[in-house]
Amino acid sequence: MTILETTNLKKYYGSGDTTVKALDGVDLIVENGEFVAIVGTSGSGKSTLLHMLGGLDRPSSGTVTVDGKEIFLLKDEELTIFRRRKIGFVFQNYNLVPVLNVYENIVLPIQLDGNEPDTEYLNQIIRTLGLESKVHNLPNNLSGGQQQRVAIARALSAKPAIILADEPTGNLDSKTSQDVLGLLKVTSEKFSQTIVMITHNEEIAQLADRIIHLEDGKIVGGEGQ
Amino acid sequence: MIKVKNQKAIRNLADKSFRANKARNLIAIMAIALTALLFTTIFTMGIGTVEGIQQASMRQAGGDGHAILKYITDEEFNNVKDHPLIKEIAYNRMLSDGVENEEFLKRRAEFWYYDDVGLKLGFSEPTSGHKPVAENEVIADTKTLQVLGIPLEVGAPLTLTLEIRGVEVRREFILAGWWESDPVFNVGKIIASRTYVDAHLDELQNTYKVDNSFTGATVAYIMFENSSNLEGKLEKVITDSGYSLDENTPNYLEHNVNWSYLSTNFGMDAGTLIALLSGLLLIVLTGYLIIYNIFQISVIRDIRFYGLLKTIGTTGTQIRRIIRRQALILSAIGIPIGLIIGFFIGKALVPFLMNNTNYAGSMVSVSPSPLIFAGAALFAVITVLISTFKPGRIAAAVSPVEAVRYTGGDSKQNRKLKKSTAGGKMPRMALANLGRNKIRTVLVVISMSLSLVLFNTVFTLSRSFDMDKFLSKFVDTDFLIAHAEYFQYNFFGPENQTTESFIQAVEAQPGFEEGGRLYGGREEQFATEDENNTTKQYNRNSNGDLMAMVYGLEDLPLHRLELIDGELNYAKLATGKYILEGVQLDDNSVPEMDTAHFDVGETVMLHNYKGTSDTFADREYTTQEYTVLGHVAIKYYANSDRNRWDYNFYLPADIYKTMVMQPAVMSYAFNVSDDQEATMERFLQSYTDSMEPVMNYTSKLTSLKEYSGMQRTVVMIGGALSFIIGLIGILNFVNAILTSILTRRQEFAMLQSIGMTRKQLRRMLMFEGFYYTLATCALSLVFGTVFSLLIVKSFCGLLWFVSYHFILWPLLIVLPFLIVLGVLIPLLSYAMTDKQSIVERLREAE
Repeated sequence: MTILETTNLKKYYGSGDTTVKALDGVDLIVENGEFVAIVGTSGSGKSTLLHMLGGLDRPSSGTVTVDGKEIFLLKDEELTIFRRRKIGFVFQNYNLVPVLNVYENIVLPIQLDGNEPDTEYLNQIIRTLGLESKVHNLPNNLSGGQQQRVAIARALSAKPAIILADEPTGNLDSKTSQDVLGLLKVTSEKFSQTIVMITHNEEIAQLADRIIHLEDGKIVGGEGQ
Repeated sequence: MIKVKNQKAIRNLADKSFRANKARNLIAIMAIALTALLFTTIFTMGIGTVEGIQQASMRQAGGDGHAILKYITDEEFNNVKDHPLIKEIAYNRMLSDGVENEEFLKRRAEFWYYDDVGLKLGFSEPTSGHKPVAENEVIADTKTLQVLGIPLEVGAPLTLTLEIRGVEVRREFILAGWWESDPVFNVGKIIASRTYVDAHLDELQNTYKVDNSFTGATVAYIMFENSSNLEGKLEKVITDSGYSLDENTPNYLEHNVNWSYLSTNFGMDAGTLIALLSGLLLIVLTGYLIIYNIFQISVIRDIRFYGLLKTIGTTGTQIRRIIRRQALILSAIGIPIGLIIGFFIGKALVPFLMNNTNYAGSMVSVSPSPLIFAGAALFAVITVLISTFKPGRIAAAVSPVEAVRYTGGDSKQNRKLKKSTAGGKMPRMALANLGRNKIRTVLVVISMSLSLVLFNTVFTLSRSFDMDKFLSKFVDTDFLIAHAEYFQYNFFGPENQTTESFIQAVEAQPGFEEGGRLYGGREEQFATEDENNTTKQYNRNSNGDLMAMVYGLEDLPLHRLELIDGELNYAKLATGKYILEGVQLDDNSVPEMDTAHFDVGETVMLHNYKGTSDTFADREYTTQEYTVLGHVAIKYYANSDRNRWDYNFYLPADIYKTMVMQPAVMSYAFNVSDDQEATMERFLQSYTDSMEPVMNYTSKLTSLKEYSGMQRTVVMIGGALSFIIGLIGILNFVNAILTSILTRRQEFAMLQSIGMTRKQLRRMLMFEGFYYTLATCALSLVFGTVFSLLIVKSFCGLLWFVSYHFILWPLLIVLPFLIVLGVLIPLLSYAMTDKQSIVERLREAE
């Protein structure tokens, strides 16, 4: 089942001579449960693409459909709520809320929705990510790797349609990177989660099921469809 | 070489980054200006009041001058005038012992010659017309001319009745010029020309040492180079010129130093001093709070920048220098603004302060003394420097790497664990956010509470002003009429008693309700015996009896007597066997029982010279025995002759009249219906101006005016201060909120990216603002109550006309507004910053 689809996605900045074509017509399909890596050098437009996929930014033209819904037809407020329920983000610099502890950070999207967390499921995630002993810790008391794991747990907690990860191991050492990536893959399989990950590192990309190459705003290699 | 380039680089960095921070600069300049403004206002008020009092007391004394030589002869003057210490000396010559024109009964006038220096020092230079030249030309002050009915025209004729050594002489003059009377100096001055002096040299011979006559005596005002060691300089001048300081020697020169110069090291009374000092401290504290806050927030906001600087090799000291430089630039802009505005505000407030001294009503010109500006600028700069010390240290101590990862003000989270699960709810998050920078939160809350407490204090003080207490000291009834000399403490007896015609006129007025005469007069020479008093030598008559003051009161004043002990039984009093003894009251209207000489029930022997003969020797020396029925309060302004006597008694008027054949009406007290008070006031005004100018009056209304004037002062000054401090508090709050939102821009973007709607975000911010103001409310209520009960209450105890009233309603009224503000400001601030898309805000991190 197609969980994510883009059609002729374009994002242009500026006009005339100074037009920057960040995305220049991207067609993409991701199936449910896939682990996709989008690879490209800096300036290739991969971050822009990810932001489009997550509805964080509006395209100049084209559509993005997540779980059957064309997200850019939604208004801002609706989009945010949609994002809360359907999309999980993992950022390069973790972006945890410093005043909340690990547990609270993880359940934040759920609480924002006003729902009660599925404790069974949560415990599973926490155990899988090895965070049982850290639930009450504040982010400033965690290592980078631990913080990233919390971020992943947060992304997973609301059982979103897809998880978008922007250079998740960018700030981690090689050993920790391996661990985190391993976890990403494990959770992807275990919880049947779709993951789209951006990286500039070909090696890391190898862990994914599929690799898409992006250059100058266009897909140039890998299987886009 | 390196060092020089270094300095320049630092300066360049400081200046460029300075310019990039427009919002902070604006707020900082405002805060610094406000602080400087507060300092300047206080200093201006302080120095202005001192100056004003000095000026006014000089004008009250009649002239400027470091020292004065009195009643000297021309020869003595000439011997002294060239002494090297003297910068300038005035030659003022009294031309008569008195000026007896009837119009001057209520406001005395004197007839002088002033030379040019004298005119200047005596504030008597004519502003219209010219100085007197011809023998018959005179100049005078406007009030004197008004009283005489002379039009303000050069050449207008006027006649003066001069008393010269007991002989009355009428002389004709014409007006040559005039100047505006000083409301503070209540004696009229008429000044003649040198030609007049020369034409009357005979009668102007100085005979002061022989017959105490003022005519022809010279008074010399001396100005030295400066006002230090006036006593020493004066003595040197006198002795050097060959004269003596000893009043028992023939070549003694009567002299003294102008005390208003000596009192520059003044005994400001304790209350004013405390107020001034605490005012200064308060300003330093408030200024410190807000400026510190601004810089701390600014540093934290730019911590990445400073981290970056560290990364490329800037040392901590250099970073501190950058911050200090920025602070000084901001001060250079903000302080002058504050100085100027503060000076004008202070200048406007000085008259209010002066109104509470004895010099009310005089024009005060506050000169822009450099002392004020230097002092205020100094204090302001010091406050700024202290405030930027800690933030500077924070910036200097930042580790380059940490700064790159900085998320906003809480890198020093000491907390490791947090045992909660519901932290994601908006209210909880808001609370937790406040905890990010506890110090900042606390400072903002304190700053706002401070102004609220001050606000409440001002109202408490104002409300505590006890009008009745104040009035009851000065007036007992709506009006009191008497001969003008009674109000000048010179009531003697029949010759300056209250006229029946006046009393009739008053009784006939609409609205008159009740009135009563107070009889008295020292001329009656009542005397009493007191075996306990063996030491007092003076004020005993030829029989060895002690002088006593006895008053006879008609019903109204009699019934208004305030009983202290004993009983106020009018029936008993009417029998003529009983008497009331008067007891003095202190400033707080508490009876000084040691001024009572007799106990209740004791017998008092009263003597007087009963009869109508002018010579007291021909009268009958009577003895009358009374029993003291009780003690009553002597109300200085209401039921005494306005002099302090040792023995004081009150009798009903009828009984008094049995001892005194020609009773003199000291004063007449009466009440008027409320709606006719103003009319009566106007009637009395015109009656005492035109019909019987020797009569005068006081009224509740005039005392009321004085009272409300004082109240107004407190409210004005206190209100102004609390407004300014309130402004500072709000500025503080706005700055804190704005910056906390700005620093968390990235975090908010992240929150929105994981699904927090704008509405939820706004709700969280609203809660944050709400908690701030809630904490402020709580703190100000608690602290305000404590402060009021402890400090304000005891302060009220110092002032006799204030009875402490605890009020909290000003605070309670403001609180809802505060809460609304606390919710609105975050919303507005957020709206201002929410212009970029999530991505753009996220990107800022990368």
